[in-house]
Amino acid sequence: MAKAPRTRDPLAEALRTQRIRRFVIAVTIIAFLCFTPPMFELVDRLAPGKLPIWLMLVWILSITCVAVAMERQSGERKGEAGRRSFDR
Amino acid sequence: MIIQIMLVPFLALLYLALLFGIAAWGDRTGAMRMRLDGGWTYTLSLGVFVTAWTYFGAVGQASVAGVAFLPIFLGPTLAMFCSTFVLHKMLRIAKAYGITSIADFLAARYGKSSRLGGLATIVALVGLMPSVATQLKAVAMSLDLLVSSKAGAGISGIAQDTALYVAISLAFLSILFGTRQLDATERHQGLMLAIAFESLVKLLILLAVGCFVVWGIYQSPSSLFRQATDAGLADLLTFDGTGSTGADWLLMMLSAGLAFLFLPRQFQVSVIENKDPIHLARASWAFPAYLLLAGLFVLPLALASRLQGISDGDLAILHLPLLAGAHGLAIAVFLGGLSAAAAMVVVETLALATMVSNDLVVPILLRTGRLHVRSPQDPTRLVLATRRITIVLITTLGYVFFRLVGKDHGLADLGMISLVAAAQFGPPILLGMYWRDANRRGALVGLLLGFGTWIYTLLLPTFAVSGMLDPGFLAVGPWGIELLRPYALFAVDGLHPVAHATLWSLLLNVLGLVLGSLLTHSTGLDRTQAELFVDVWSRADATRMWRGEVRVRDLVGLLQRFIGHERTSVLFAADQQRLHPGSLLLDSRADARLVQTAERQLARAVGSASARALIGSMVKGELIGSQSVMEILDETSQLIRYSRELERKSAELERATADLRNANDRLRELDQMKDDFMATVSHELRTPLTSIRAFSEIVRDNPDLTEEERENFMGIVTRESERLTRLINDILDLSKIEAGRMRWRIMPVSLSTIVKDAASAVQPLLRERDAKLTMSLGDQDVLVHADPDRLQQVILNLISNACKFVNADSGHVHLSMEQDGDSVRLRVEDDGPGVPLEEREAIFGKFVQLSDGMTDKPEGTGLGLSISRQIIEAFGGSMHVEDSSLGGAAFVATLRPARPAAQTAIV
Repeated sequence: MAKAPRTRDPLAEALRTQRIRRFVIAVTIIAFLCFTPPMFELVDRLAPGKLPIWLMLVWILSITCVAVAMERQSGERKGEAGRRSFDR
Repeated sequence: MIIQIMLVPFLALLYLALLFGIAAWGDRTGAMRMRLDGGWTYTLSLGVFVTAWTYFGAVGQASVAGVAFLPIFLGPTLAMFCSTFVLHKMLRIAKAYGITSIADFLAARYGKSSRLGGLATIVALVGLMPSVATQLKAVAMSLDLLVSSKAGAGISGIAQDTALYVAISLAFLSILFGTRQLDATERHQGLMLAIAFESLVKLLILLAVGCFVVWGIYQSPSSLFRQATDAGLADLLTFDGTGSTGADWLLMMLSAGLAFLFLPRQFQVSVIENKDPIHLARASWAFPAYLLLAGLFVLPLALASRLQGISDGDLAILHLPLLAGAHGLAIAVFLGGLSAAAAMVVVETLALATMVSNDLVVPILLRTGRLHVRSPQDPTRLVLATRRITIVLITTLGYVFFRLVGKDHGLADLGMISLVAAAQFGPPILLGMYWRDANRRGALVGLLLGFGTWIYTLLLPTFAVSGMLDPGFLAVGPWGIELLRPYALFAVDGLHPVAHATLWSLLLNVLGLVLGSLLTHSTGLDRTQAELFVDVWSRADATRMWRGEVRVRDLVGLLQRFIGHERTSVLFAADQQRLHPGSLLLDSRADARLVQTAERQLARAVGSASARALIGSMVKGELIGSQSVMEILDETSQLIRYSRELERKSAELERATADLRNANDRLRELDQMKDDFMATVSHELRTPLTSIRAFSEIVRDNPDLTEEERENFMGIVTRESERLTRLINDILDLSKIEAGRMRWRIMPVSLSTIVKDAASAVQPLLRERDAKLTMSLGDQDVLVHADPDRLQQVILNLISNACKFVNADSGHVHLSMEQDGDSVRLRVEDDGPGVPLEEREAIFGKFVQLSDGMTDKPEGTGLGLSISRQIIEAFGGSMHVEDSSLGGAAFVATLRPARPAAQTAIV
């Protein structure tokens, strides 16, 4: 995900939010695909007995991706809120 | 033994007291506006999803089916990843419209339908019965194991049944926690803090027991897994070991994801108790992380339980530390389970009690007249009593269900039954938030079908398994119809019962909703609510109009009874500031916005459907019938007609105004022209008069003038007098023509005769100018429509005008006549300097004269050409000037020819 410059421009902010949302959707879809039985059977065939490790790995990676995206977004929102309250 | 028997219940009571203390402290800090409800507290409170059956049952399930326990963790994980779309919108809707529960959400979305709210409440009550039973079973079994080491031995008599005492305790706890206040939308900060605390406690205990088993008993994870593989448990580490099909896995994930979003207790903590939508961003990843940690040691614990030969997997998490002699850890595990069960029962019963009172009891009381807006009784106590009774009823139902079927089913199996029931709320809510055409009838049909299918494919088979129904019901279907076998409905076989029920119930639910909505008409309120929900981001502040009148005093009285004096005062103080700064007008009429605000406040206490009924009965006294709707429509049509009439008249008025403005402009122009004309006329009259007066005075005052001088001066006086006469005649002619008072004698006249007569008349002038006149009049005479005298006047005027501008030495004036179809053209040409192109129109103006190039001012009045053109135009012709072949100007008069029959006319 490309890092966008921080700005108070509402249009840029909306675009950034949209980009983050698209990223989260993509992560969700990829995680879902990795959690589907055909993938499990593939893992079982390639690395027998390693399915739990695969599941945990996908789970951790997807959580990390979503965490990075959402925390950046909420950090910016908090920053905006802070700046607004400071402006007052 | 006695100590053991006394210690565990004592610790349990102590722990519950601690939770209650945390809740009370949380409420106090909330009252002091201390912030203990941030994103982390919100995230941990979502942990109420991990109940005792997940806490104990996941290991039990994993011990026989490996990773098969994961869908109930992965479904909510994916649902939380999407929370910025679904949950965020639910939050916005709930906050905007004062939603109190999932049933209220459905009722409000579908036209504030109390029927749908009631159905949703019944679905929740029945659907969650197995889940409550699971909590009782888990706590009772774990307590029995700790106290007497005989868990799972069977169901004892009621008096000795631990589950009964657990049920009573949990009901008491729920009443204590959940029914202290009436406002269902008011956040329970203390309760949420307690829930967050217990979520943290059970997570830490799960991690502790996991670490203890993996590293304490088996030294390392690899050692544990190696021993499990050696013991022939490798299957539990593969997908084949789950015994599930791919469809099972996906359907269970779907069911768990939907249940996570739409379980009443989850709705309570994720939507009603949410303080700031920004907390969702944190929870969207932190709660999946919580689930990840909670599920981290499930498989190792399951493997360990199999290696240790523990037969009852559901209690393996408790057995393992006991077998290792870690009694303290075992008690902690029990407290974690108790904690999970207590949190689930408290929040679930809180949510369900709100639903029962707001969407079932209050509407019935209103409908039956037991509760009325003008009744003096205090409804607060009634509503709170209803909620307390509901809590007792829910725990009783859960206990009865446990007594009936609890011993024959594992914790996970019973828990999943409730998840599928809660998933039935998914289609009407999700489609209702994004599809405008979803309507009340569709939602009713869909929910009924989904709920009915759930009963048929999951609930009834549970009783059949326990022997309460004919076993043939499962094996060959009712009445021997195999197509109706509950676990293989319509011959769809090979699925796990939970996946099978999920498939059919959700499919029929969606089909019923979609087809029901498409095939039936929505009511007005249904459509309005659909708009408000689907477009919540833009319409949350929309004001719904109430028909009829209500006094502010009545609204105040109603609200005081339901939400209390203090909050009513705050609410009306804000509105008073808006409407009547200065004094409170209790007898004034409440405007639509105030009525709407009151309705929303009321909805927070008794639900949207009941609030609508209460406000509606106060505002109108009765529901709006079709006759009233028709009257409203008639009034609206009348207004539209008036509006259109007004628009039409306004357009006419605008047009008339524009015409008047143009006429006024024209009048101003004419007035200006008149002023100019008068100034010019005065000037033109003054010039000859001045000359006449001056020369007359010279003659009068100078008697010694010679005769020659006297004749010269008198000649000037005479010429100026003649000029004055001509000028006055021209002005008179012009004014007559312009005023339309000229008497025309229009008749067919011979143009050549008129021309010849005119030519004869101007001979002296031609001689005076040394100019010659030539004519080419053609062979045949031409008759034109004209007044002969005036036509001659025009020709004389044109010839004399030409004479003024001809060359001084060899002047030449040429007159020609030609007929061209329907017009006769008379040309008077000269060899003078001609008329510049830009002045060819101006010279037909009044008092406009061109210089002849020799003198500054030519002879004449400057009215001749103007009069000539107007005369020709009066005959139906036209006049213009163009270049002449002689080098000067050519004045062309175009006339209308007369019929040959008129040749006999007088000339």
